[in-house]
Amino acid sequence: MRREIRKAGFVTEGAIIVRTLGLEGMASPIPEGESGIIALRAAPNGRIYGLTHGTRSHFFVYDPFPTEDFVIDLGVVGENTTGGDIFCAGDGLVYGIVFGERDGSTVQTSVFRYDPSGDYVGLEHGMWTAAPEMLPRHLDGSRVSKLAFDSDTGLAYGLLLPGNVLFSYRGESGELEKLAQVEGRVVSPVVCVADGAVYGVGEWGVVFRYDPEAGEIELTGMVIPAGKGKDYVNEASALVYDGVSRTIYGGTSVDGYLFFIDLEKAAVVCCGKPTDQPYVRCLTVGLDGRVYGVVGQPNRGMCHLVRYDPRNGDLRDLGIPFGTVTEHWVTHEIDSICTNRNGHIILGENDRISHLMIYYPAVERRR
Amino acid sequence: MTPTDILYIGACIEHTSGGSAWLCSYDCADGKMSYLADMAEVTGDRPETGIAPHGKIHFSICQGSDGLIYGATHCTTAPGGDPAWSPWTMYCDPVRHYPGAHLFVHDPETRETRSLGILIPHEGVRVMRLDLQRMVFHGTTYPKNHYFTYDLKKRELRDLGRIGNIHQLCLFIDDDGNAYTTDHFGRLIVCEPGVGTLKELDVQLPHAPFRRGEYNIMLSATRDPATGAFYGTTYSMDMRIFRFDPKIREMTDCGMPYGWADRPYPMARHEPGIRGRVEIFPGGVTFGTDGWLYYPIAGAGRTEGGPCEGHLMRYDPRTGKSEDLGVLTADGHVFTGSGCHSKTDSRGNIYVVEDDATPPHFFVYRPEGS
Repeated sequence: MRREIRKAGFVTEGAIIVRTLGLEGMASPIPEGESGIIALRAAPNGRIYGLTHGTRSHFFVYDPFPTEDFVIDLGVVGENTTGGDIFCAGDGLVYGIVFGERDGSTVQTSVFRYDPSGDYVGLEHGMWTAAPEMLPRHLDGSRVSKLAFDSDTGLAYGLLLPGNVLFSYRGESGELEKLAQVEGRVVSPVVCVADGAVYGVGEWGVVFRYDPEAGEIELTGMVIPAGKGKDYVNEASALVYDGVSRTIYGGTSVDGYLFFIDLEKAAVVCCGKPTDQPYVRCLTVGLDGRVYGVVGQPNRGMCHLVRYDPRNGDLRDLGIPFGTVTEHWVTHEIDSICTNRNGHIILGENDRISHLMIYYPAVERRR
Repeated sequence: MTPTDILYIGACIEHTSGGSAWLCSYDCADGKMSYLADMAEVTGDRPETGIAPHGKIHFSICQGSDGLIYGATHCTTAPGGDPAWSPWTMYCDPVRHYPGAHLFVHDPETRETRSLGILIPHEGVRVMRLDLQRMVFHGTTYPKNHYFTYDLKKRELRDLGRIGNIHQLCLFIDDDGNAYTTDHFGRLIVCEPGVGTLKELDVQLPHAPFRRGEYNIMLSATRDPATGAFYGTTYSMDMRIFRFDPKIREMTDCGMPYGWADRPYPMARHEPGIRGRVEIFPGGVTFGTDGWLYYPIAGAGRTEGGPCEGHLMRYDPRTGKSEDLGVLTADGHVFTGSGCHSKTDSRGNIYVVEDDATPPHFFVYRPEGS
């Protein structure tokens, strides 16, 4: 019993593979202190792009294609960085913003893009990739929130911080437009694009909607869930849009609640609290419509993989990610997640030593 | 072991739920055992609250240059009434969490013991050593396997981040204040004084050629007073004696204590094909006043399914010769062989502590001339 109890807290439904941030057994991975993953994006062609932070920021790619199933470090895109994000644009390029702070004030913000069109990856015949191209910096003095990409318009949206200014960015032209000021002391550092509009969460947990055509921010009156009395410090810590069901899923910071916004009914529904910790770190929608996320108090908690099934409302703590292939590793801090073309859930560890943890959900048993 | 031949011992109670560890001392001169402090009293974290108690003092007892005895508490004992406990599952549980290891200090003069506070919330301390010149503690935590330093003068803690997976048992400090430990692949990591960051070295503990070093970590290490190099033993995977020269940062494989003819590279634990629990790792090392390196080892002489008989071994770094001194027995008790610590008193007597026995014993071996 003792052994079972000690193992029981780890993910046991499905399987997890550990991937170092480099060619396994052939090259040194991205060094300690530079490997904390802060962003992951799945490109339409199946490649997974990622961004790290630390003494140096690395931009990397992971392609699960059988002959290329390893991480390639594409290059350094910043130094002494603390945050950033990337997005895959409609032109096939990948764009990224990374910023660094020192002594509480912003030092600099870098913008880069990556053109994968000339890449060839194949160990037998060699490998060559382009290097990220650094772009002119518009954003010195500002941090940026997590970005949301509208594939219909080709615009990425985010918030400039401090100041909570909603902006749009077009990668191809490099054009950045400041759109509107989001008022309030506590504004959630995430936005989400749904049905052509930009959604975010402002003060007291109130959901706002920005209509690009109207050019205005509208307070919807919908409020994200919080423990009674905690709205004044509550934020949406993660947002993700499911275009199939037209539903925005989100997670909160103060309590670690999962919720969804029914856009048709204009209603917020609280799904519940899957773990005993605050802070939903990241969310992704699986190919089957189930929502996967990570919950865990930053630095003082232990991250858990969780799952919400909208078909029956089942909210479940799947456990702490632990893999033994390609090495034995337990993850404590995870801040990014995405779904690949096969429905595998890619978790980006954000620690002094970091890995990709590939979660293969269990196949549902037929009834 | 202090220069006055007082042996300080952390008596642990990992397998009894709700239990708390005790700091004890043994006077090598008169053979008197003293029970100094109950960690539940020292920390104020009462097991009756349902928390995971301070059931261990792990590899952390140090004597400061001020003459005081320092140590840190550790977890893994289950809360009262629970059959077991997982540090990962219960990490943030509001009731069954572990509060965090307390740094404590014991004054041998007044015989008072008090807590200096929690080091890192929810984390136990697996190993801790003191840089005597700078009065800075170096240690690693559990379960998150972070490296920390604690400056006793400034009362300043620095968490330098994660260094490996979950397993860490040994840390040593050279004459220049450089502190060494290993990651989960047995690669050496150094924390240099005044730098405040960790550096991974291209130096790895010796291991079988078909293994890559994963889970092969240090169990114990001790300084050779003759040369300043460190000798130690590996654990969990390979069972080897190593020598590390901190001046040139070079690792040397000093060989395997013993093995079977048909198993040249047995696993230190869980060797396939051997029935029952097998732990044949070489244990805590200590230099005798005769210049030999002494350590216990289990499994030697064991037959399948038979009792475990621990041997005392010694290695001569001057010649590379190893010697099996035989099964360690005293007063009718046979040493189980599982022993993570050995110490030497000023007269050359070797003390070997037994783990995982109820009650545990420690043995005193008196080499010729001691």
